[in-house]
Amino acid sequence: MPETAEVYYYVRHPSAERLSEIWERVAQAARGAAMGTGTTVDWEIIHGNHSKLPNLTLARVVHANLERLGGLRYSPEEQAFAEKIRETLGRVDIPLGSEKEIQPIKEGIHMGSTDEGDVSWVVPTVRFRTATWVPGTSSHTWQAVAAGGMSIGLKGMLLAAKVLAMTATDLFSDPARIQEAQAEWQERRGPDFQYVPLLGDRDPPLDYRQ
Amino acid sequence: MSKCIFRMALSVTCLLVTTAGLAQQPTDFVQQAIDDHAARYNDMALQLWDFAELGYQEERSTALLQMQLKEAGFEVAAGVAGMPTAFVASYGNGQPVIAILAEFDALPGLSQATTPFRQVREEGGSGHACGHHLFGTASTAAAIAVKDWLASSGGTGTVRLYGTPAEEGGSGKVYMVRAGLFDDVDVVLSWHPGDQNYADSQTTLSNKSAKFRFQGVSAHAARAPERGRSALDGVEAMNHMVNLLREHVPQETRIHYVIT
Repeated sequence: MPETAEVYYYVRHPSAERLSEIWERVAQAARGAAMGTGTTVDWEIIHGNHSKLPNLTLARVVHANLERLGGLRYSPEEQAFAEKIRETLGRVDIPLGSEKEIQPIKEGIHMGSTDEGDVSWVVPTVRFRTATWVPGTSSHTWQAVAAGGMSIGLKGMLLAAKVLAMTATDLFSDPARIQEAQAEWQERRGPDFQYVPLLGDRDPPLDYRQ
Repeated sequence: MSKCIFRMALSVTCLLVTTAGLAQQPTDFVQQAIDDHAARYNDMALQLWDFAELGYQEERSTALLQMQLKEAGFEVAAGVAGMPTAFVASYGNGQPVIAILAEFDALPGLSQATTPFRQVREEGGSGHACGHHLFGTASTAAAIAVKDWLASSGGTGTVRLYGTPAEEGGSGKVYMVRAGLFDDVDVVLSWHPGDQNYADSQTTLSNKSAKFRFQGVSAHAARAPERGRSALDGVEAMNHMVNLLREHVPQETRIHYVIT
């Protein structure tokens, strides 16, 4: 008869506020389960991230700099490498060759999570992507490790470094643009927003990978 | 009076045109600064790729980035917000404050050579499958280029590089936000490795996880079952209730669980 047992729950929702409400119902289920089975329950929050608050004002500055620099040009060796990687990817919608292009600004929802979300609720934040991996590659795959460790990854990295630096100098040179970004951020956050970390007051889990 | 103002405006315009003609455009300046050191940054990224350190264990990776920033003239505060591998590097003075984010943690079990077919470099080893070695290096390179431009132009403003550990499940940035390290920042710039080039104005999902630990009472399962209370019963009852709950939550909710 097990004296201890543990279950790990992971809940996601686009809104941190809704998520907190759903989370409380999961916690109630835990309390109810303990009551009904004559056991006790306690829980340790492992992590929590806010969703990302977009900023179109800043995204436009980034997009203009991406357009100025253009995409990536593969050498014949890189092209051959990319074609071989493509054979391992299965069915993908993104064509090889699209690394040369700059896509339109992406809006909508990305079904993932990042700790950058929390930053975006306390400061106007912008992010962009460059093709450091062969088009069609997903993150968290060996194909991403392989391309990231050779010249394709490095080309994408230098493009990213330049776009970051150019965007920073654009903003330093044009304080009105910073004010515009902050006005958009205020409006998206709403007047009553107060930042509350979803992970509460726990300490960083320094040993979570041990 | 109006003529006088017109003349002043004209001379100011001339001055601006002359200055702009002599000085390099800021965006050209920083591009050049990055190209000048491209070999060094490539080498840095490949070193981080090789370290492939996991969340909160990124000692060599954080040391390499911090060293580059210190050598470039940044002031570095290391071990911030209770995380030994987190840091904030700062250059300049006054407003605006522009911060650039850097990540550098790898993922477990994704060791891979630079081959276009599956070839494990080190059995069970970690790998940069989210490209954070490129993330950390590009952001550092950008911060240094912006610093060079600030120094040469004599403009006011502060550029900062935030070394943010353990993005993959460790939520390093949340502790930095909670500690107030972003309170005086005007704008944050970030990027991420990917398979296409685009500015990202998407939202993401918020998430939260916890380990629920049930405590029962041990007893002999056959001789005295009435004295026992099974902790596993607690887990099963909770899972059952949460599975019923799925019908009554907003459609876009995701609930995952694993008995650990």
